[in-house]
Amino acid sequence: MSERKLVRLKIDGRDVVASDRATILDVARREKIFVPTLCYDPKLAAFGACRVCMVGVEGARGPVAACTTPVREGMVVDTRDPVATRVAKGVVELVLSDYPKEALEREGDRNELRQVAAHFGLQKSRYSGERHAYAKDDRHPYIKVDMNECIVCGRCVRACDEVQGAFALSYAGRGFSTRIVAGIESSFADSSCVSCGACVLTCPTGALDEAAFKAKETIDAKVTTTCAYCGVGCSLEVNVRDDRVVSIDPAAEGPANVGHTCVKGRFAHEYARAADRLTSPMLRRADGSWREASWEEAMTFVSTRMNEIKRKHGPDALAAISSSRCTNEENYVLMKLFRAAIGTNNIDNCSRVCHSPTSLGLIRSLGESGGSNSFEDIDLTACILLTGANPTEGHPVVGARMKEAVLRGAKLIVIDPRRIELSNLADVYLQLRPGSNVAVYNGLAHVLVRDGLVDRAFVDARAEQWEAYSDFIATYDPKRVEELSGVPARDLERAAHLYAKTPPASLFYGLGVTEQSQGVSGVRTLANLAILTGNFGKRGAGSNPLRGQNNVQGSSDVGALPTYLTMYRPMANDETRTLFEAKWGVTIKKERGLMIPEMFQQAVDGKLRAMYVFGEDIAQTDPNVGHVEAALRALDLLVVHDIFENATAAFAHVLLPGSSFLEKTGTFTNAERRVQMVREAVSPPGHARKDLDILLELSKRLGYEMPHRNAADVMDEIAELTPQMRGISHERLGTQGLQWPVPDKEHLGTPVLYLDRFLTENGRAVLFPVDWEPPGESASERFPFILITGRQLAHYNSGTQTRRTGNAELQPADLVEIHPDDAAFLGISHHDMVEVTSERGSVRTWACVTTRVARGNVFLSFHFPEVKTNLLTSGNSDPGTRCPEYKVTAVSVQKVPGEHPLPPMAARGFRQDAHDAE
Amino acid sequence: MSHNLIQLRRHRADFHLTDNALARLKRVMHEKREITPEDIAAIARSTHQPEAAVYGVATYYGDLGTKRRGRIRVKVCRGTSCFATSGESHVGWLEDALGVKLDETSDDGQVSLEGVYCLGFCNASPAVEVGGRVYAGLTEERVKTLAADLSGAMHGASLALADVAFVPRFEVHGGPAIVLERLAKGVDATRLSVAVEHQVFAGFALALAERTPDEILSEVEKSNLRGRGGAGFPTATKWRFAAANARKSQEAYVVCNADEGDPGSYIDKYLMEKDPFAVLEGMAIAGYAMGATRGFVYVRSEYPLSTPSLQKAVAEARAAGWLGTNIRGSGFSFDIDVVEGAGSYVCGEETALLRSLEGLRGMVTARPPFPAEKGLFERPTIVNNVETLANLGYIVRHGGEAYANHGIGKSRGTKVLSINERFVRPGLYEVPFGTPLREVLFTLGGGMKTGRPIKAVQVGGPLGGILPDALLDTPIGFDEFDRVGALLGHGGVVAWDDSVDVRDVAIHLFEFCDAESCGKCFPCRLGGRRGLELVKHMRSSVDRAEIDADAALLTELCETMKLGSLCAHGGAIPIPIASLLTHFGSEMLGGAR
Repeated sequence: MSERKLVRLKIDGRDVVASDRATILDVARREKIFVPTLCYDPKLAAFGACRVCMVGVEGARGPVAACTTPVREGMVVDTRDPVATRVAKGVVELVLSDYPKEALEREGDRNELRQVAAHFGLQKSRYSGERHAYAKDDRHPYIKVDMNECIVCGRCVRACDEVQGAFALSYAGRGFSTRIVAGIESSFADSSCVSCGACVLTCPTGALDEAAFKAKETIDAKVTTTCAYCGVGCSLEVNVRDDRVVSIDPAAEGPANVGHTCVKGRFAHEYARAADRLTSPMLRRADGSWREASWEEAMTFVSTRMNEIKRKHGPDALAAISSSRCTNEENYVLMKLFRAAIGTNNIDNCSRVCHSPTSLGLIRSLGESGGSNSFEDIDLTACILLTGANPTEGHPVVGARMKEAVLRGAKLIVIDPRRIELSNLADVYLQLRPGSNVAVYNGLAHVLVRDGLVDRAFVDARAEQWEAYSDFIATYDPKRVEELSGVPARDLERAAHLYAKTPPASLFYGLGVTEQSQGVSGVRTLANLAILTGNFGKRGAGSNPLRGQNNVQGSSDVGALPTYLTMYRPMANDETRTLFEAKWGVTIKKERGLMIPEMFQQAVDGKLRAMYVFGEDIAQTDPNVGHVEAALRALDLLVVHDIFENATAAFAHVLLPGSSFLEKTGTFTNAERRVQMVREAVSPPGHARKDLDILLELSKRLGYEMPHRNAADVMDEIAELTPQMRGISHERLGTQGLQWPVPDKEHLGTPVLYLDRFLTENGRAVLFPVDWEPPGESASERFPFILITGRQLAHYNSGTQTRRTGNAELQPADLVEIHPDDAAFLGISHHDMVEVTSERGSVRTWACVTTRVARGNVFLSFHFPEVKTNLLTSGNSDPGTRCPEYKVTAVSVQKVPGEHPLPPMAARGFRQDAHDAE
Repeated sequence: MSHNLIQLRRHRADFHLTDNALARLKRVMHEKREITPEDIAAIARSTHQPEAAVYGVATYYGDLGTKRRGRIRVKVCRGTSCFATSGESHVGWLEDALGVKLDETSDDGQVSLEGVYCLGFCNASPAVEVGGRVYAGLTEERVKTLAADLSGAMHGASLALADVAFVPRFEVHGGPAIVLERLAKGVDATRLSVAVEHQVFAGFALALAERTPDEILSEVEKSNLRGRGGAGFPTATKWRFAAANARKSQEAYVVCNADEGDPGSYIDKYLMEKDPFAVLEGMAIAGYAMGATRGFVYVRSEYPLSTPSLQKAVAEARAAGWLGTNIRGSGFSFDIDVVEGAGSYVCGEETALLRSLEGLRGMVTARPPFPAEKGLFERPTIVNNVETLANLGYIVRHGGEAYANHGIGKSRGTKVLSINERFVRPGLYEVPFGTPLREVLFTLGGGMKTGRPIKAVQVGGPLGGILPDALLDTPIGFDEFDRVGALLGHGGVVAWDDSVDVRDVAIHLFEFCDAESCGKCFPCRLGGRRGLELVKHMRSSVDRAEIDADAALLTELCETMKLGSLCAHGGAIPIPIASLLTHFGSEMLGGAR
């Protein structure tokens, strides 16, 4: 790449300066000069097909296309050059000769062709002759296709390739019969489309539109907010008409998603208006059935019962599970309610069962509980080491961004027991045995040390324990690691060399690392690799957890944890405690509260009597569900505060109808530590209330009235009490959010941590020597398979939301993936009904025979309550954090006789076998 | 067709260009005469290509398709020369004799009739290809014999009819023999020993032994060699830019554009088939000068004999140590693969050609970036035409100055003109730039075979301008032709005598434009069809007002296409149409000839 230079040019008489990489169109847009376009989309590579952006350039042989012509020193551009305008108008007249008249006349603010035709004063074409007549394709649950409106600009094809990397669309034919096709000129539903909607968003006409809403028609308001699905934190624009969500678009300027989002964030929002939303508080009748109740009655019931239990059994007989799905402000208020109004530290959130090892591990090794870098760094990295995560399904926007990075030329190393889609693009793929992470990461470190690939200057200057560590790691030679993990020694060496020799290199990991009996050790041995190679404190590097839930970072940051106040400061620390006590006007217990698994045990033991469960479906998502159910049954009071009557509600005494993210204001913090605004777009349905209002009201009734009028007030208090968030206020967040630490109100946030020092006490990273230990379960004669659990693209966690949308048509069931050899041995065919049994229970579902899993492993997602995957998973957990070992469960598999047809799958791109490697 | 699809192809590191998705689709088509969705899915899986993209390829190229073709595929030439000879009567003869319409397959599935744009037998038009054999000089009688013969073949007999060898004249006049150095002597340069005896590889050997890459670049610069494919871009400028980029890239390539698509020219065909080592030598010199180690020849499939000829030459050159690693102990390594296209005129445009080499749809990419910066798989690539490359041995051996001594203005050296069948002495004539066109047409070509006066001459293929008799004294040269609204192009010369109806010429040109448009840019994709509809309506209408309105709109369309199109396909078709409107205006409007 040559250096960028600045050039001077004149455009419509104005003297301007621009980079020599800019095109005339870039400069015109920057100067707010309107140049009509049809095939142009700033997210996509310049294409030059429509020839509508023609402009005059002095000395050129004729008009040039502004979108593909780079600016040059001394260039004189006239965007209103009469010849250029005549040519562009001539092209638009040609386009109209094959475009339906009624479509041109239809009202709507998103039809770019209509706008461009109006610009040239064209209503019709003088050309007569052949027109195309295509059949409409309405088989996809979300995407409506009417190719009669297609102008063959190719934006959809390019968006599919360049934004999503799905390559589901193509041009077909040539000449006048050139057309856009999905798959093998079938339906979108039969293509490899993953329904991200990038094509619909970019389509300049009505050829691709949203099936349900006619999104290209007019709307009342556009509200910028943050997605409430995974931890990527896509910035979304909610299009509202008549207090209803018409459609959702990705925000073009969204920092984490840059104008992109996925099938969940974009399309799966109908659940918010589902018929079975909780729209009224509910109380149990004597016969156990539900009846509607007023808020007054329900709140009186809850506060009275909680006070009674506190009086009788003490404050520690009550506990809350806060919600990683809800806002920072709500999490803060709920933890404040339990600590101040009730007087217990018994508050935890679902990070317990997902990323608690990340918090503990990263704090111990590096100093902060957060990813060191930003998602933007995926565009800047030269090498990605991805392990224990399946971003193309679990974090689709990050997955798409990784695909783009690899296609741009970045190297990719994938370490995962399951052959995920990205492993097909990887330069090195290490298919390790489940539960052998620590052995493999140590093995990689061994090769780094053995082959002189360590950045000694970095290690000497910024890390601890080099001597001890380098001695320790000597035992993890690749041959031994091969025995422990099944990863061929040569591949391990290749991966280590690639990672070390391709700076900057970045680590990305997910629950496959944390949800292990060695969760913390996994996080830390992985971080060792980045420390050894000096991959911290710079763009494109670092160690970056892919957080599962939208606000799992924030709910922990704001102190919804039994051990910490905000920003991981222990209550045991007198100074911290005193700070909060002074502000809150109460005494805070010094001793830590119960972690989620401990809550269940204490409930079974009769010590815990009441639980407040906020936005979590613990009876479906926590491991060893049988045990959870027993705990819930034993409680005197179970309050479920949710938007649906979920599986946990079956054990509840009262249901409080809360609000979806579309109906409230607050903030979420994504996996790159970015605090972003959530803004109310529509009202909660029926008598449902905003969650913050419910919590503030409850606190008041418990005798502790908080001073906060709204979420902004709550954030101000968090900022006041938390140095890393001191500079954050709703007002400052805008559309870009802020990445903590934000130490003061002028600070612009911290995209990269550890620039010159780590945030441990002495400022040095800790090289952590820890041995691999076998997982809690291993295959046995009775349970010969190892079950791995994980996500599907169309669904999100317990499926509470996504199953109430068209996504249920895309992926109608959890399937058990099993290797063809194992299936053949067991007499199981593709889509047969099978039973999967562990020590703790058994579940039934359909088999998917695929090479995505290795022999001896099976894979199952956990989105469908019918399947109850977590009946199977064990109570084993990481000793430091109690994070469960979801990823390693010994099971048996057998065929269930009889006919059990699999429900139809609406789109082929979602079939789990669609990405099989050859 | 996206930027990322190219990246995906590169990521797969799939440089087996002779075995990529396009090549596999061709094989399936050859074996099964159709491509089914199952074939596409299988090829997508085995080549790691997206299904949609493979389907896009299957529906793009003329040789491929998802409709089943006949067991015998008859490809009739619809090129300009064949059109000039018979006015397309030969298509009708074939339809009648075979009992099948153009672009259709007989009900019994035995035979299909397909139109192709130019088989390169313009010296013996009209022509038809059956199963890799070309039958030229067609008359109604010969077509009947052929049909009878095919009918026998359909029932098991082998094809009996011999294809007559219609080898053209190779003559050099008024200057040195450079491109036709061997062909004009009549030696069999397809034999490596004979070729070497007649100076092939002497330039390359000299370069390796005694010249640095920079010195080669200087010689090419001094020669003022310009690309012979049509655009006339200075070769040295392209090479220098490519060499500078190659130094920053892990790989760089030389691509020989052997997609001599312009109907009416056939010099490249004969260089590939009769003097193939000279083409390879030119590529090797380019590779040495630029710093590339791999070369690819992209040969059009309409020349079924060219690919095997080059493949054989590559194998022999490799065996003799002229290609491969550490050539002749010089430390320079260079090897060549020969890739055959699948029927698309636009693939002669360099960016479309590169996409086709990558196994993708041959669609045009906007420049910049130019191939010299981002070419094959987005790496620095020199793309030169066959005839251009055939000049290089001479330039290295004799020096750039000796070469530049010949010619006129900015057009130096010599040019080969392909004179079509309508002339008394059709053939390939190498003359120095500056020779008046009339001299070639009359002194060398002998004037019209019919003895009638020349009414119109099209030079440079269907995208070239049409010259009336009054402009025939124009000297042959890039800029000289440009000045009279014409295009030297690739030097194909097709003439009509005064019996032609120029409206039919206009229809022929728009049919070609419409059939071969890659479909990317709007003016060409839509304008080709609308233009065709307009000229057909002008031909059939008797309403004066309608015809005038059509002509006015046609004039506007010509401007839209000329100034708006992405490449020369849509951008240059207005040149001959404008020539017709200028020089034969009243006839175009239905007036007297």
